[in-house]
Amino acid sequence: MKSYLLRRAFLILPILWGVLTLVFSLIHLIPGDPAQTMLGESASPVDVAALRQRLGLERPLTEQYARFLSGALRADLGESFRYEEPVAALIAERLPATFALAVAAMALALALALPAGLIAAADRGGPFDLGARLAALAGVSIPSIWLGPMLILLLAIRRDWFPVSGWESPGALVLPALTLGLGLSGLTARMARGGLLEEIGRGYVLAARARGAAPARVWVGHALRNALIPVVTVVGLQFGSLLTGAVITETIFSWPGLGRLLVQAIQYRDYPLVQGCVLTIAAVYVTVNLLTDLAYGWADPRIRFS
Amino acid sequence: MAGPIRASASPESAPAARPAGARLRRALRRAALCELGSAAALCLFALAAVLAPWIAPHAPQAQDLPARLSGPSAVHPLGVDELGRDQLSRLLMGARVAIGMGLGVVILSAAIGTAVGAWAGLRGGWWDEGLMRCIDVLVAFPGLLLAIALVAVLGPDLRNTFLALCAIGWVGYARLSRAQALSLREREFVGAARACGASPLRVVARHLIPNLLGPVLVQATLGVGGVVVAEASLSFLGLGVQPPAASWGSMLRSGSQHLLDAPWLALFPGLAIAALVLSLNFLGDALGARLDPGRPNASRGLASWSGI
Repeated sequence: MKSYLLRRAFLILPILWGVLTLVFSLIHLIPGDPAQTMLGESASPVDVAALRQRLGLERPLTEQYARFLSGALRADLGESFRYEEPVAALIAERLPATFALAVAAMALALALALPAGLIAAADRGGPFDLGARLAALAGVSIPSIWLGPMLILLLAIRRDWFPVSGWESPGALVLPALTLGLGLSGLTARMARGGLLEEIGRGYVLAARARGAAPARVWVGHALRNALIPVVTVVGLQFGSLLTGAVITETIFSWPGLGRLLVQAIQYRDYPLVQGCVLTIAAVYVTVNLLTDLAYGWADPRIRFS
Repeated sequence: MAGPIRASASPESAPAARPAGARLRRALRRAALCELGSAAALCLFALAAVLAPWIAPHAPQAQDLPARLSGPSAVHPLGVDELGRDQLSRLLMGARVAIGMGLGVVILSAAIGTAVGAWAGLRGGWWDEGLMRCIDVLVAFPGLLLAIALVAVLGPDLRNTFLALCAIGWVGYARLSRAQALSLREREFVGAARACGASPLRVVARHLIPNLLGPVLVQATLGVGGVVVAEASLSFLGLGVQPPAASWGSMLRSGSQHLLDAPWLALFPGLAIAALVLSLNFLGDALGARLDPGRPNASRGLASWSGI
């Protein structure tokens, strides 16, 4: 297990280096002079020169790259152009709200998907199965940019059940989490159904039935337990997509998280902040994927040795 | 049940001898109602997109200021937006952006991804290693994040949205065709072609790519829906199609500002996106099940886009 851990952890170093390089090059993809673009067409040449100096843009490219890499390793992501604060501090401030949202969406997705998958599998070919599968496909197909406004319209404006925006009360988390989690829930329900149908035909399930176990116990205690491992892995691997999905959900609900920070940074052409947000999301994604992989290896020893 | 039994009981009634009507009925019975429905819906969407300039009741940019924010009526069947523009006409024009972008991005990224993946899979060695490391880095950016970042630095417009979506889109096709090429290159016909002195380029173009098109086609069908949602999401964030041009995403964005006084402005563009994506997903799933019944998870193409 230890060598597996080390091997896996070692493999992400070149990926992180590639991610850093790509994020570094973003600012150099800006057509024309980045400093001029950030300040706008009407900015005076003196201001533009000062900003170039501040961003270190007139140094040689290799030196800029080395400074960027060494800064990132010390969690120094530069200074925001608009807020005039360190980028890392701004991100650290917003990260908890985004994590809360992503975790709630994930919990909600599992809470909806597992019963749905179980019912669909137990009723294979029947009306419940058809209903659950259609609902899952609809869940995957309805875009969050529409689901969010419709949830606000129906449950926050027509019915005063949840607040429209903000994050002061726990109830405020429900609609954003639903918007973010529904797509994942559709995907998870389909996977759970497929996994369950695969497990229910196995010998150990037959053995449990032969011993006279009740159907509920066979499905939940035996089949579901084994079908869960790949399902939970995929849900874990989707965590990063939830972080990106949060960019849209946070914009809809004015949620004070990392995604909204990114969108605002783009609007104000605050490129150091854009770089910082993109880098943070990618780094969290890579880390969560690694942890999911390791958990999978821990739960299913066959993975470690293959 | 009666159909197949009769067919097997009388083998002399070969399919060719059967009247065309009976064959059509059999084919229709086999196709699920949902598949037919989604195919019909897709044809409608495509027709609407192609004919938009001729069937739109008003010019998409024409302003009827006194009617602004008014609800569905005989003159404006789907209501009027905050600038007095007819929503039905804008939805029809938006269908061109959505479908054009969906098809364009998928075709270009499938072409690039398939060629690159098949080449790397055939050549192996440094080619393969280089491609896989590139892909490792690109997939370290979840979902739309890289597209958002690219459009943010390149500047928001239609062309850059297209480029950004292609930049993240080709990866899935490259992985798929590399994996296919790895197994195909061990097959005898590839060895025979190489033994005859065919250049690697010729082996890829004439022998590998025609043989891995099936799975690529399934992934592409499922991918169109993903691109439609991605374009709409970018436009919703203000990063895609810029005003005054109509896009479903930007219509949804401005419609969301009027949930209190004109909820239909957010209702219809979203319905259009959801209906188009649902039809595409239905069809992609069905196609996947036909071409490869043993595929464990038919929605893999969507997985990479979910959460959006």
